[in-house]
Amino acid sequence: MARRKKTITGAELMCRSLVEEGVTYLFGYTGGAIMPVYDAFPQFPTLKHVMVRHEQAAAFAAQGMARATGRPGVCIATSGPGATNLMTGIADAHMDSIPIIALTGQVATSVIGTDAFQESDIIGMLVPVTKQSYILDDPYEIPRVVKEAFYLANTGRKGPVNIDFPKDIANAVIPDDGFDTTIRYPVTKPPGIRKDQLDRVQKLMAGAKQPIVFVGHGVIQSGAQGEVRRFLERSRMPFSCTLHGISSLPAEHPQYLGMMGMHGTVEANRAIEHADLIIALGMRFDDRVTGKLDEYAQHADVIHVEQDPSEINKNVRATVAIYSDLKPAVVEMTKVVEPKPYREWYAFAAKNRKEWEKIDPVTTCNGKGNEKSLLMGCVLRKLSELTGGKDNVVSDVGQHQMFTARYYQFNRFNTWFNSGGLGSMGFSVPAAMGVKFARPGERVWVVVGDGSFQMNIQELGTIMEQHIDIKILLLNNNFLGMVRQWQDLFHGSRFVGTPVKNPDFIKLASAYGIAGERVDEGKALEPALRRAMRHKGAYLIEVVTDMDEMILPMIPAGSRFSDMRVTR
Amino acid sequence: MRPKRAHTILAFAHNQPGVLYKLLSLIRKKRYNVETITVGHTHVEEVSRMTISFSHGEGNKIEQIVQQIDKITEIPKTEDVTYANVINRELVLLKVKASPQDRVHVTATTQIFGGKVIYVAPAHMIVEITGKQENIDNALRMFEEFGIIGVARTGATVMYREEEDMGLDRIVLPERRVVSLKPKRSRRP
Repeated sequence: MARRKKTITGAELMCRSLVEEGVTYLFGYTGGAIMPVYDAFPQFPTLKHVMVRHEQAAAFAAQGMARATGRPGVCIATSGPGATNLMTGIADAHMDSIPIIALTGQVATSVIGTDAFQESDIIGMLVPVTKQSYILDDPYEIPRVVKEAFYLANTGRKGPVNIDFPKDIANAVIPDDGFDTTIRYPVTKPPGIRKDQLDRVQKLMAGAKQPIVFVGHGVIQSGAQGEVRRFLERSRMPFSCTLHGISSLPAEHPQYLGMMGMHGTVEANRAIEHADLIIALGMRFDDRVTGKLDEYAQHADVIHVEQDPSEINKNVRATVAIYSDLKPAVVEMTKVVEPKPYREWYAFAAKNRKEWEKIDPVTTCNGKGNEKSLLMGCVLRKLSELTGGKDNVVSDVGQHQMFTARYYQFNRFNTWFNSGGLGSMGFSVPAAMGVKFARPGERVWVVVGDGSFQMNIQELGTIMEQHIDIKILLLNNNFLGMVRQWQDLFHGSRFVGTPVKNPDFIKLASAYGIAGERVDEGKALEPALRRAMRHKGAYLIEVVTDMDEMILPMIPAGSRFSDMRVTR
Repeated sequence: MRPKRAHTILAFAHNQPGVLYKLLSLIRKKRYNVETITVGHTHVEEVSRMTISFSHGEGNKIEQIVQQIDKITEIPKTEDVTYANVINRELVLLKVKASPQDRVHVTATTQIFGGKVIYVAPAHMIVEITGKQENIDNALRMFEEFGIIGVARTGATVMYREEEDMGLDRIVLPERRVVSLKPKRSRRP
């Protein structure tokens, strides 16, 4: 019998380390410098490689995986152009605090720095958009670096980590023992809520007549939805979600005022304008949330609970700045809060809601816009009704994203996926692939516009090859709708660079073996959606929507909340 | 007149390639201008001390930078020490015009600032002065009357008068000697 193999190559060691971290799916694209790693895949059958058609999609798919599972997703690409193509997806993950591991090939250490073929200084490019980046120049470091990369990506405020893997290190043969896997940079635990802070919080909550609770992405990421819900139901305070906070708590909750910010609901934004206390949980007061900072929530004291201290007092000064994990802080706050009915405050919100409902085109216009085509808002509301708000929805970036956030009633935890911080068009189709791999038993919808769809349309190839069962709801208004809206409102309706000459999407899908149909009548929508839901395999519904539609209300960028536009 | 140095930041960093790049990339992103930066070893192997001073800065933005720097993985400890109980020193090498008649005056001025003359040439001298940044600014003004030919300033470096928190509890330094106990193996293919 042959002697047991006592040596291992760098590439095998990398694969083994990934397996030890519990990785199942990798999204990637091969190439010169990463070939040794691909060569090792067959020895590790638990690693399932999904070949995408463009590296950017690999990063988004890894994000979809990470967003759906809460564990780091992995994308893999070769050196040079492969690595630079990943960048948009990595930057996107950084902005939205999504844990992904980007494994990039690199030219051999002997030629690094000589402008070798397909060399790029990827660490230099990725430093501003990663939590940490490594270049492996010693095969013995592989197990430690992989372990630390996963640890850092998923601990504290989550984010992307890059591992740059030179080809000679991947090919190196070393004895298979004696690996040090110490984590060198243990993440410090936030100190939590202090006694004096808790007293102050208690006083502020007791004195508040018009409080509002902000539920951010942190609530989903820390899994604190139960604690937050108990706090809300005990205090009876109304709450509003940030774009990424949506789906942390059911949209049907009676205390829910809807999304806040630029395209938030009238009742949420008016409540923020008049609030005397804001309790912000796991959010960062992005400029799309605050509008003009100097005049943001002027009457309100702010209690800010965050686990990243650099987000506290960054944009909005906190009256009480609590550097803490969400769960323990919210539990403590629940203990000291006194329930109050806030009747007048809820009446104020109800009045604003009614005022909006009276003018909301989605409820008042019979589903048709000025150009006599369907309204996106109505399409999304129909989807929400048919699915009971229980399906996974991955949206792209643009008007349809805001319509989904506003009109789809998310009633199940962590079922809403979109690119918020970076706002990368082309996000939805690849991210949905990742979500579907993570949740094979659940239905996954892609809501996408005609512009965004074409930014990663090549992934129809991956969907075909891997038989990925996602339902694509394409809202086609033959325009880059969100930019058109801004042109309409702020640039004298000069539509420069926004009309889109589109291909026949149904034929295109059919070329990839994906079934689909076009809907341009309101009555055809429901049967089409039902057919998509029944269909086994991917399905494309192209809905012809009204190019003149606007997502309202809107607080123009850098404006005050009182400047909110509710009509055109 | 030189701009007033508004803020000094002290940071300790794990001595890894690219840490300085990360730090400066962050400062660049925040659109701050570094006035001086000094980096050097400490008594702990693998840990460097970095002192960065900025020529201007609103309190809030500096606080932001400090917290952002603190997030850099390899930097276990950062703080704004502008108002802390620290010793702040800078060294300057000064090349001054000095005719034989002026030498004694240059030497006297150097002594006022506790400096040393370290080189004499027929028409110029080089003096070395160490002190607080303000004192060095002052000295430079005094030497202007002789005519300054060159200035080499190191930038400030600071140290706490009492105990210093180097953030060593937030970092696990590799025990490199442990590896060498095992039989030597080839580190490169």
